[in-house]
Amino acid sequence: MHWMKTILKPAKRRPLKNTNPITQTPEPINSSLPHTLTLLHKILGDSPDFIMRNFSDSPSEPGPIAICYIEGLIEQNLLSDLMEALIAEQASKTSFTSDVHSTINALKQKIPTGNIKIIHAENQMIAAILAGNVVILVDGVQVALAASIQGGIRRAVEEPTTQTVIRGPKEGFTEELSTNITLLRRKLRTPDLKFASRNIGRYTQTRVVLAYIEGLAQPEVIEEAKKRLESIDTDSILESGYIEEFIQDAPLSPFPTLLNTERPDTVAGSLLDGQIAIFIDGTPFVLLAPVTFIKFFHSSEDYYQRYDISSFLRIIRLFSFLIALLLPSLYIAITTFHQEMLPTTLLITLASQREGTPFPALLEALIMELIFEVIREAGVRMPRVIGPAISIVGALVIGQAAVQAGLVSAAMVIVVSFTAISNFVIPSFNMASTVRLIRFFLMLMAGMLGLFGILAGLIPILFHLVALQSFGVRYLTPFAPFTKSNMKDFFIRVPWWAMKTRPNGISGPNKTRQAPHQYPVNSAKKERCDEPNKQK
Amino acid sequence: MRRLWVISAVLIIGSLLTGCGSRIELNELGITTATGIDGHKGEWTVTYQVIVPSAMSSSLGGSAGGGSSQAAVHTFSTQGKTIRDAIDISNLENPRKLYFAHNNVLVIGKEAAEAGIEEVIDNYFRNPDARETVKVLVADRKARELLMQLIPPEKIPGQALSKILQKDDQTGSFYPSISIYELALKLSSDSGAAGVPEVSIVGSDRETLESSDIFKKTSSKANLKLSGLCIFDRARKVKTLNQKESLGISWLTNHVKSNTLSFEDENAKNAEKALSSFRINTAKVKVTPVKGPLHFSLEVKVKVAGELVISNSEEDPAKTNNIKKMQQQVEKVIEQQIEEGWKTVQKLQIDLVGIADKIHRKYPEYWKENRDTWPEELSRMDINIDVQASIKRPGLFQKSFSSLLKSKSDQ
Repeated sequence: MHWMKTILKPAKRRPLKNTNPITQTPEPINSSLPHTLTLLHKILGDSPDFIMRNFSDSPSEPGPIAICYIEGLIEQNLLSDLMEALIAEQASKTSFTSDVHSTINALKQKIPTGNIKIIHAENQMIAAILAGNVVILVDGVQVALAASIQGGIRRAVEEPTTQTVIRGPKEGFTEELSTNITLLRRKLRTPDLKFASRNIGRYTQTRVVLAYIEGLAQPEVIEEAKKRLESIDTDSILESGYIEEFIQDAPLSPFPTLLNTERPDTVAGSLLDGQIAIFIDGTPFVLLAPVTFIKFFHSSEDYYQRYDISSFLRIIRLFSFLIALLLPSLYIAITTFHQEMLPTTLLITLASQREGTPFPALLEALIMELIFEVIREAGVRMPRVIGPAISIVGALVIGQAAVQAGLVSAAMVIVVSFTAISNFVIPSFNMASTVRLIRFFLMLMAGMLGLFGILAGLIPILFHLVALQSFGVRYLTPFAPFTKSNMKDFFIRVPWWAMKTRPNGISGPNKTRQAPHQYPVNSAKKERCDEPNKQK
Repeated sequence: MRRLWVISAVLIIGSLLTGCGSRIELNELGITTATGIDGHKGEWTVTYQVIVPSAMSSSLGGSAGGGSSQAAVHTFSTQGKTIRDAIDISNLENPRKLYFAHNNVLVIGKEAAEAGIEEVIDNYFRNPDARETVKVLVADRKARELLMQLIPPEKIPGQALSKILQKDDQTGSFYPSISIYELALKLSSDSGAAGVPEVSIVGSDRETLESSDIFKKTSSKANLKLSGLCIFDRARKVKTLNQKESLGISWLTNHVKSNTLSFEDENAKNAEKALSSFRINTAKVKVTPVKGPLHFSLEVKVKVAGELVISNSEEDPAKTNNIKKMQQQVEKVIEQQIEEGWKTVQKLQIDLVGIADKIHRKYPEYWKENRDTWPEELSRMDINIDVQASIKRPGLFQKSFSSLLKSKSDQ
């Protein structure tokens, strides 16, 4: 691993050459309106969506007020209200030059918008326009007003497509940051819900918001996250994956140390556990940290369904994790090295299927797994319309035809398909991809050394997992180090009235989740024999 | 940096060069389901019954019931000076690696059993590929001849033989099955004797059993059958016991799990015998040697429980008295069965019951002095049998049907 680090790590951090007007050193706004407008036109260019509007009585002589905005980023209804107010203001007054402050304040009073800011510098003005504000410029005034009437085309809140539940809220995050934060706010109505915002990306200026609940999250984790976010210096952040790769603990590990979700309820639940969330503008996927290994096998639905079925499902998920990881390699190892481990009848059945198959078991398994991966990738990339075609081809080609043609044994098809199905049970797509990769490694090990090979592959993985940390939290908590109180939300989920504390090691100072002794007591319960007596 | 490259290259190439060394694919295995041993020291013939997997496959290829056209096993033999010699030259005539881990039965030929089986047991204990849990049988002829027979309707004769042994253990308990390690334990113990079930071919025209055409017929003229219990005394076969004698030994060694026995109704008024049957569901036998003033006596305590499965008696089993009478009769029958076995033991002076080990453990001083005269001592021993039988269920019917008809005609 060491040599990989040396390859992947750049020797020295070279500062990027700054050509971006927004991040350059601020210069004050010129008081002359035509001068400012020319400047804006020079910087933002002939973009068809960039609008500069001057309220002028005559075409030759420019008026004292101008507004600038980008068409697609603002709400048209609010804009017309704003313009109405401005035109009325311009008509009522002839000169604005008398006093700067009174002019701006008077104008501010008239504008029918809640969020309005005074801007002093040129680069701030440009940033405000690009962020979806309407910038109001007044001739002879050295400041500008930025009215936030963001709007335009955005996707509605829909059901999340990657993390579906049967019982639970059906809303998912959208690409719009403010919508996402609103969705979270609606779930956590507490003043302790805190946000720390930052723009990252020299060109994209992507808003990245760190969310946490003060008192529940560990202050060190918040500090660490802020530090890591601040150290990112890149030209673009287009998705949470960019941020994830910049801030994760073990960049070369196949295991994810940040969880992503597009469910507001998952984020709210995680914040209440003491985790922090990182919202990124432009993507519905929110990052959660610190996470432990077991978190990738929990679904938000576990907390909504009855605790007994949730616990059962969690155990099923871990079982299918092991199947997805180990089944092909175990099959290879046992059928080529340890045949004595099979019951006689099973051995004969398998042997009769392998009669006449041309490839060794290892090659057969590798081929089938690769074919499956190809079909799966095709299914994702393909246009939706021809989706059924791929399932027919896949089912026929690797399901039946390969066996009938005698290329692979029927048992191998069962092994591969059960492995694939088990892989889909893992709720986190991140972890499922990790399993897919490690599976191939273990298959090769099994093909070379049998069960010893599997063990020789699993032991280093286990070492790695034990050593892995996510924002200072051990990855295998509460298993190693063993934390008894965290066991209530591990393999099993205890009923809510028993969920007394937040997870140890993840949550901050406030550990108590609820009042004790909440076992449901039914005071309305009646003995059966009482009722006839009452009727008398 | 360079060193790291070298180390990782060595690791990767090293693991690749292992080259799946001991790997063996399933279709390269000759899965042996039964092994036969014939001959004697210095000249062994080993017979292998190897499964033909393609004959076992279900109707995948489209030809339904392909099994009947092709025999599911192939039997062949090799000769060598020792057993391993013989096995090693099997590759001269067999393309697959013989695989003994799934061996179901070991059949010892008549001649080999009489000549001594020390080398067979040594082979099983020394080599990891042969399992000591394999069941042992003795053939009434050459093992090779026996392994050539099919046992319809089972496809694999080796498996069928071990299933027959298992079923006898569970339902009849006439010839308790024995595995290699049990056999070795018994032969090397103080008693030095063991009983191994004997299998024989009964009926005529045994060649028909050698072809898979037998599966097309509804009956066969010949068939394989457990027919006796071979007595080994220090690795050599000395005698074959019949079913009655063997059952007595089963009782004395606490091997009876279930059995159906018939008893006579003593109070029958008619001259004809009125036989009823009792099925043993649980049986517990405790055998303890007790030191007497002159010689040892054997205390045998038997507790059986079961149900009435056939009744020809005139008594009504719903009445406690009658049930008690029946129980007494059952006890008597069991006592007779045990005595039959005991008589054989004393006559042969071979300690099939394993009393020697019990005495050795209980009276070590005595054993040290008298170990040489043990066989004579055995023949002088007395036996006290105490049987407690209980009929737990009389069945769904009360009086026997015959007595029901009789009472009808009396009216």
